[in-house]
Amino acid sequence: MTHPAYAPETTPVDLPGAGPAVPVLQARDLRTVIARGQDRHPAIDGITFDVNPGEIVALVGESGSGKSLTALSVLRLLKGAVQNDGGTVTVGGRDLLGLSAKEMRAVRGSEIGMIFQDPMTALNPFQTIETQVAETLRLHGEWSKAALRERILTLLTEVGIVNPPMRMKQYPYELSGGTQQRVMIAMALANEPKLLIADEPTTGLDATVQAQIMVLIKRLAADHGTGVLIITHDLGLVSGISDRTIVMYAGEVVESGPTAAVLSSCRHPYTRALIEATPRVEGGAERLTAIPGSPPELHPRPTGCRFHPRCALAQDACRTDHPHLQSRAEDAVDEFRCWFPVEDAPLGGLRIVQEDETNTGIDEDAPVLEELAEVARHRTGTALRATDLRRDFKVGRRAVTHAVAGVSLEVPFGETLGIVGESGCGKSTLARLLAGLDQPTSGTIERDESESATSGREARLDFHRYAQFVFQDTFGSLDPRRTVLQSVSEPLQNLTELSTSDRRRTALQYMKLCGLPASMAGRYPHELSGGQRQRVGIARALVVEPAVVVMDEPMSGLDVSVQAQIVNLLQDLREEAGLTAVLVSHDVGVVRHLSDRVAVMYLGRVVEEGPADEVLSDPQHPYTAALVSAVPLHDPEEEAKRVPILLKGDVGDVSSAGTGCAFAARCPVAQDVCTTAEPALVPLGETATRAACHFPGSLTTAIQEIA
Amino acid sequence: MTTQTAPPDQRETAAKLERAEKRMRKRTDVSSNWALLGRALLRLALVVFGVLTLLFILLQSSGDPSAAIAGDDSTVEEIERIRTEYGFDRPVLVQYADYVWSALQLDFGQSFQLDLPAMDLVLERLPSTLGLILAAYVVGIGIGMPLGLLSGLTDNKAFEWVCNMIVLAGQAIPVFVYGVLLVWLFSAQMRWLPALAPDGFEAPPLALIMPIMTLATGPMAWTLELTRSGIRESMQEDYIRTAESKGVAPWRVVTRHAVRPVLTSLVTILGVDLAGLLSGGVLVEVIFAWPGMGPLLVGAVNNRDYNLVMAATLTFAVIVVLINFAMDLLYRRLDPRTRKNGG
Amino acid sequence: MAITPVPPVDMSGEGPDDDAVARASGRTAIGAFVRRPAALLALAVLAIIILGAVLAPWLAPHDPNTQSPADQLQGPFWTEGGSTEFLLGTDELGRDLLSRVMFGARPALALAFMAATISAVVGIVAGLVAGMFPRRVGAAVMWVCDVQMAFPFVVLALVVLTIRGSSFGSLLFVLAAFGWVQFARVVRAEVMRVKQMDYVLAARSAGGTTFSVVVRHVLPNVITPVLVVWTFNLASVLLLESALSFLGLGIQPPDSDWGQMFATGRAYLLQHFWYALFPGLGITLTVLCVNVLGRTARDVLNPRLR
Repeated sequence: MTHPAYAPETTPVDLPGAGPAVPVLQARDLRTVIARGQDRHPAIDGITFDVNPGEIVALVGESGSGKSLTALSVLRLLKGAVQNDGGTVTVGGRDLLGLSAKEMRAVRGSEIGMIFQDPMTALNPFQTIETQVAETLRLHGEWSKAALRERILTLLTEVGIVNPPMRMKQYPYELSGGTQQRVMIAMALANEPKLLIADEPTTGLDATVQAQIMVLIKRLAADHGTGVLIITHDLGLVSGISDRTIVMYAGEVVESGPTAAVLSSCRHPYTRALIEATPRVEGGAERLTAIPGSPPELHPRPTGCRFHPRCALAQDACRTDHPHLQSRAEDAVDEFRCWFPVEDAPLGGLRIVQEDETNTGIDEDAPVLEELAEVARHRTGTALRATDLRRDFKVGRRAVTHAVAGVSLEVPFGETLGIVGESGCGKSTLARLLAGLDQPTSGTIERDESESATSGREARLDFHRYAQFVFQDTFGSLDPRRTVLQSVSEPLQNLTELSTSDRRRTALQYMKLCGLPASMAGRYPHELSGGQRQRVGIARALVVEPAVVVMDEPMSGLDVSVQAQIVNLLQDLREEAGLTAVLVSHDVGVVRHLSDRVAVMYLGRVVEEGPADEVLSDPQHPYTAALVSAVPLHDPEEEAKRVPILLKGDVGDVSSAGTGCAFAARCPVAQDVCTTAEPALVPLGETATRAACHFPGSLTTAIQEIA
Repeated sequence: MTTQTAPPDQRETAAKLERAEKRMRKRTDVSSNWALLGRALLRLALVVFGVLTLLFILLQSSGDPSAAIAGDDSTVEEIERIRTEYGFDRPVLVQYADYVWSALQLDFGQSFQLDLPAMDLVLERLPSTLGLILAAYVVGIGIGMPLGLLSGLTDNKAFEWVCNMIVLAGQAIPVFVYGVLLVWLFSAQMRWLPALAPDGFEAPPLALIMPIMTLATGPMAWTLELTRSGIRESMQEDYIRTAESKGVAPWRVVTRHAVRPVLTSLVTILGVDLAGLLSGGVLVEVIFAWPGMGPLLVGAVNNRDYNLVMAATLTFAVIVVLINFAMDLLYRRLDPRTRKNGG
Repeated sequence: MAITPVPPVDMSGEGPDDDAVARASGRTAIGAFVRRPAALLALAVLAIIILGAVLAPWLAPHDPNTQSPADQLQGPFWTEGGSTEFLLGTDELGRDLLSRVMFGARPALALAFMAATISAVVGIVAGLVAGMFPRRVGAAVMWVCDVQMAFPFVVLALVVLTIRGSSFGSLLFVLAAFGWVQFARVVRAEVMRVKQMDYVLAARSAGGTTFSVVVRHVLPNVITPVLVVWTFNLASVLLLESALSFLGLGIQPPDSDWGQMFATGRAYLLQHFWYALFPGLGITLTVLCVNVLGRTARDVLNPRLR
């Protein structure tokens, strides 16, 4: 039984040699170009930064910022058209860019370790864990068989892997995502490097696993005095883990400084916009700041300041003169690149970005808006009622997996229900059941009585008129051979009696509503950006004016700024068009921002359900508490004070025993009864919240006692 | 590849599967491998059974073979005698059952021409054919794969062009044209090599060169192409980048990491190619008078030697099925992801 | 705010997947095709061959079956003993080689195109059905494929053609039967891949019936690989047809066929090698062009429209 873990005390590490600590990494004026035909376009335009021993530096940016290329440049792993174009990278007293290939290979894996984004594909699927970790050890040292095995076991234990002797012999596909990433970390740290580079180390992992990995990296950095360079787009991760932050945009540094300073009193408009574009788990923001358009292309780059086309504060100088990095004594941040820096102001208090069709949410002039709102006004009561829904999947010959294990929910008209959970919880399956895309093994879904329910095909069509679905994968959910207009009007073809011209007109109107101009009608999915494709998906779902829209991770795979555009669009639909929706997401912040009520799922069951604000700020179920705590707060000071709750292992590591609470095996405050009796989802006292726990609120109390 | 919060729900099913597999595995760990093998063998048996049936149907569809066997100028009594002797007067299903039963015992009756057990004749020639096929693969892959690796990993335009020529030529020139061409060049014109190899592997080594080289061009061409594109693709994988980031030397990266998936696809294609190579083998055997099953079959067909035709045809098919089965097993060995999980 | 579709070569992996994908839509596939000189050349040569075959009755200098004992085994006009009357020489019965070569292309090409198309149609249907209902029907179809593929083509053809005789119809049957399996396999794999795509699910949620979803969404997305397979199948059938002829199982004399001519010419290899050369060259060249076109089709059409 563990109480929540703490960040360990930092022990000072004795560095060889006397004197002040030398930076582990010193990048000076690093440049990278991408050669296309005859042209060489700069991708990284001369960036300079340091990483000190034991320090964690975050490199933040969106696509096209050059952040990933920076990491690859350091290790000289650039390939093909991408080439280094100057600057120095000093590690261990030597400029890496001047080393021979052989010398560089000696550096990789021994002085510098690197971990990558998707551990499933970053590990060799054909080799066992042991083989892969052994490889990195043997490359840089002499090891006897026994010593090697010993070292591997030690490494795996140190990164928190349970049962290392068994894991060693396994193949990557047999491990969960979190364990795979731990293996990568073990490999990277095997030879005690001075510097660890982590490229999006937690992307794609469950929130609770992300929290574990974060704590692990922090601890390892502190214990070994390793400098860490983290590449990320996730401001939450930045807040939770890094000491210093560097913000990149379009190939250059636009701001840098201590993380607390950058997050709370930044000077560059982009930084500020980025912060305001990220939904917060603690809520509070009325509307996200959605930066219009997309990050700039490699070429041609905007003249003057590269951010000026999207910046509302841009003035003439910004269009013509490229700003340089400046430092002022009065700033908390170290440097920024802006002619007209922003001053401290409450969030949302400044208008930072331009507005255009991509980020103004819905088009309020669209005539269909009024129609939608009108229809929504007349709908009262419960839109969907699910009773004891179950969905089983056969696995192999005999086993059955209970993806959805008895879920009962209600969605009133005009409300948005957010369903949040991690991998394996069944939320995607549930979403498909609610939208009629899949049939439950047992249980019922009722909808508003006024829609007639006949049998057979007509009933199915009725249901589709009633509930529509927005898919997660924008590429996969649009037929690559059909134009935007064809995709959006398809539901009208099957589900309504409209004429061809009426269908076209309606489809165009809904496209307009979602910020897609008529000129897009003839385009194909591969010609659109991710944000545009998602708008198409949303327009397609709205076009039959369904009573309910079910959305499965509609923001996944999008840049932060583009994500905010979609969030605002959905928010407007909710507020102006009275949209009734079910929103499924793993991102607690997004769910909080957009939902009226929220249901938390774990292993096919709803463990807590109630008004979003209540559930997420005062969680009663231990899992909800852990989930919420896994997302770092934006305010680094608050975040530092917070005690994260760490759960044991991954969702996949511990199988449910069948009796008792499904969460008991990982629960920090589980008691005996939890393993024998399954708790029912019951209302708590006078509140509107329900929780399935024998001891609701006990985890929160335990934390408070410790804090 | 996304750098955003790619939803972990894609792992939802994977995690579910994993848990279920673990539970299953604890109970049936040892037996599951045997179960897999059992299922594969069952599939094998089904295909063999289908092969037997198809052949039977084909031959039955030609009508009553008694007249053909008896010969053109035979009397009605002779034909009738043959009919009863061979059992063609029995009902179809009875013939079928008898046929399957005998086939399983490798009994195909006597060769009409030579009055020897048909299967014995076939088995006598089997090693020559198998040897030729094996040699063709060894030479073809032995040349094609290194060339493909070199081509895929380097950027030399001239070398690339040469490889392209090899591939195109290997695929466009019919195997019999190629064989005759070699004979013309090396036997007729230059007199370096003997034109025929009627002793098969017991012939002087010089006689082996042309038959093997002719047959090897096919495998050489597709191996080169497959390896070339395969290695290029496999070098783009994420785990290659990881290996490089650990400081693995370029050559090791190729041999230890990048080559594996190429090998697995090679194994797959080999299974599919085998039937085609056997086809080509028949042609090569005919051209070079190689003592394999090809000429035996051709002769049997020309002479309406029913039993021998059956025996030879069936043997060809069974070779293909068995080797495909072996390739399947080999594939599982090479790719750990297919093990234990039902593939 | 311009949102250009061409992503930077960004190793962070954002934006539309493939640079090539973004650069062209389906329409400009033809444009990409035209930009490849090898493909154009192959197309031109193939066109000439086909035209030569189709127009043989009008273009050939002689009747291919007219024997002229006096002019046996002459060489091409540029050799000693050759004449311009018989541009490519004559065979052992005095028949004009050029005319025979031209006419010899006809059955080969006709069989190839017809067989490839028939097996495509049969294979597509089988593959669609097998892919849409993988558990029972699909397994059965695959079993049939496995069984048939166990027999090397020449072996099977030997048996079948000897039973049925070598008429055009029998040859067509055998050649078409060879090919359908490839199409079925490819189409089945594609159907199973496409079936899982969300846009198929989206089409169902838009109210589509199984049939309409298959026709509107599945079929268009599996057609592209079929085109490529068809071209390669064409090449294979040409090779197989000539192999059968070489063995004496193909088109029977007196009609000429490339494989058959090659087989006869083989006997005269020492002194009159051109007899075998021209038909051999004919087969090789045709197959080469078809292969080049097939590869070009594969490169141009894939992966952009997946």
